[in-house]
Amino acid sequence: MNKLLLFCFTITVFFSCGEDVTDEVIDGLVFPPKTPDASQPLTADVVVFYDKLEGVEIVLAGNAKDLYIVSFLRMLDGTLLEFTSTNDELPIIMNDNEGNKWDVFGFAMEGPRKGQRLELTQSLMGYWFSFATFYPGIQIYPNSGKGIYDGEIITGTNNWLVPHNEVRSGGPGKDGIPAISTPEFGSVAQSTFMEKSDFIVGISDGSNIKAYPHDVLDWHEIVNDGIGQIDYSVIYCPLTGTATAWDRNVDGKVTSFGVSGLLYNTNIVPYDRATDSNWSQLFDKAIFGKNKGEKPKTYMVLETTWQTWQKLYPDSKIMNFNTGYNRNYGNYPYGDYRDNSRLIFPVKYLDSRLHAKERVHAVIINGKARVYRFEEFTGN
Amino acid sequence: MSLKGKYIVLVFLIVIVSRVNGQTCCSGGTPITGNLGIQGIESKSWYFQLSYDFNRLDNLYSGTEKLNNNLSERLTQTVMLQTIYSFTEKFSVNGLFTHVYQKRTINTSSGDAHVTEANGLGDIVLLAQYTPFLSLKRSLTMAIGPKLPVGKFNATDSEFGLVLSPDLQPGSGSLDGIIGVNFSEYHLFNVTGLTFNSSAGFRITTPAQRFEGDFDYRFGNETIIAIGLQKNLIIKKIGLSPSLYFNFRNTFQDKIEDLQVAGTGGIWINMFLGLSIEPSNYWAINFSGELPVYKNLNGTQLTTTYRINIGVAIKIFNN
Repeated sequence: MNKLLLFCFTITVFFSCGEDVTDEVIDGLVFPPKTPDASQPLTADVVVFYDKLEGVEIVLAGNAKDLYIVSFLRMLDGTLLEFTSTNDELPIIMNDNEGNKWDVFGFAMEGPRKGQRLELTQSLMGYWFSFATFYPGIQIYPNSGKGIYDGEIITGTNNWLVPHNEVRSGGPGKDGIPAISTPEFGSVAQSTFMEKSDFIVGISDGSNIKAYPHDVLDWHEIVNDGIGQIDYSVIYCPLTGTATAWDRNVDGKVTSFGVSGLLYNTNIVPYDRATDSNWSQLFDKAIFGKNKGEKPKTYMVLETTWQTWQKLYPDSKIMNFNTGYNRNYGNYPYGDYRDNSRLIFPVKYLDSRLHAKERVHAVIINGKARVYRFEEFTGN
Repeated sequence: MSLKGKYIVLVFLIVIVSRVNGQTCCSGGTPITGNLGIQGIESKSWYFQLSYDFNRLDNLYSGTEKLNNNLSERLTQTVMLQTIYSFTEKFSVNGLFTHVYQKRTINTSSGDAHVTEANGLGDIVLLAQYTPFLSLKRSLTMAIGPKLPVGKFNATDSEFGLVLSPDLQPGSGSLDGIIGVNFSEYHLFNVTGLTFNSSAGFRITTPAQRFEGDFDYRFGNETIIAIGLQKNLIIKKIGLSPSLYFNFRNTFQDKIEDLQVAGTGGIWINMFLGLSIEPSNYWAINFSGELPVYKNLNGTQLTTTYRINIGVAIKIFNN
């Protein structure tokens, strides 16, 4: 009898424990548990958890107070790494089960994999509405279900990769918003023009680190630059709040990107000066011209506040306001746009599950997207 | 003027209008409210003015500050035909017809230039005018009427065939209401030929539909007040009337739905220097130039560097 009770107890414990670690299935979608191991408490500083999208294991790390979220693939060189948050000094944000310490850009700073980098997801920060319109089947972590419009196939017209009538003239015209090609930089200490709450877009090649203030990007949208051995363009769309870094090698030569003045789903359409092709930042492809259909090579960027960036990289370089243009960089040029739910140009789909301008982190894999809200990174 | 003479004048005007390609209003460079030309005329008479307006915008301002390194330039050329017919000494109608050509040039740092052009018929203003008094000493005329959205509002660019932004369209796409008043005091301070002129105009806008009706675009309401002096001289039997005016213009920010559009609206104070040459009572040649005096603009926007207007005015009296 006692053996039977012990067996039942064991079975019960086994299955009840299993509920804590088993993927949650909602509407046919698989949502892994928020924490990899409930026995390991998360620190208040960095929240680390796993997710699985399109069968791909990813790890997310972030801090709602410091306003940053990053995501990487868990698989590295065929090994599925186990991550935990850490109280190490920033910019280290995660440890793994091999004894490595990973920084916010995914570089191993210490441990047996020192110098290696985690593989990146296609991910970026931005306003909720922009991801919802580009990826209409989008999911909100952990369990919002799918978006209203799933499976929409985009059919191009008039030689465009996207519907011609959904591409809009933004107003200023081609190069009417001048891209920056000779940015100047200063140290963190010199950058007294920055306010704590100002957002920046940061990039790192593991040894060189630069940051680009939204204050400048709001006015110029593209900065053609380089770091170490890579030539890239930081591309920022003030209307969707999204930043990316694209390699400047197009058709085998280093070129630059400019602002075409066009918008697709109210998102920036840069053009490359090598082939004059027009590209969509969030569609992540050239949508018109010689390179139509090609994907840009992207680099990871980190968007966070100046206050956080100072803590992360006090020795980094910050782009200053000596752009060669005379603009009021301290003034946001779009009025109260980022604070209300209104859009300046129409989009294909509007999804009202979240406030249109809530800043979220989106991960896109195989054309499927899931967003992560800062409220998931508030710690214990 | 004989009946034959009247027909000759009309045919002359029609030929000129058709050759110059029309006319229009508002938007980027030709403030319609400032070209209403509200005035009372003698009973049963016609007044025509055909004019050409050249507006160059290549000053980039943020608030009151002029910004350097501007690479953009806008030229707006408008042909305007204004006609007034008076039924009685007190009641008349005033019509303003326009054709607009807009050209935007963006010079890049690499030396390339991107040019965007648009042209077409602009909106039409029709005003009912009431003149309580019109004498040798003073005159007062009040006007009210619609600005009809007959102007082209779907002009596209030549490269992609995409609809241009509202500020580059010849028309506004919206049915607006306009009220205005003009007051003149002649022989001011008992000085022969010295005239004080003042006018005010107010345009109340309504939304125009953009993008197949998906979005409403509304230009900001506009107020214009102008005051100035004109001196009438006669030299060798030709009337010469130099004038100096100051013009205050205030426009509210444009709106898309309820969202204010950055870089629109503001306050302008401009100075106008004019000269009217009147070989006879029947016709005159008018020149005027506009120079900015002060501006305080919302956001950052291109604004007028200078503006020139040349016109020919003809009066056809009934007797």
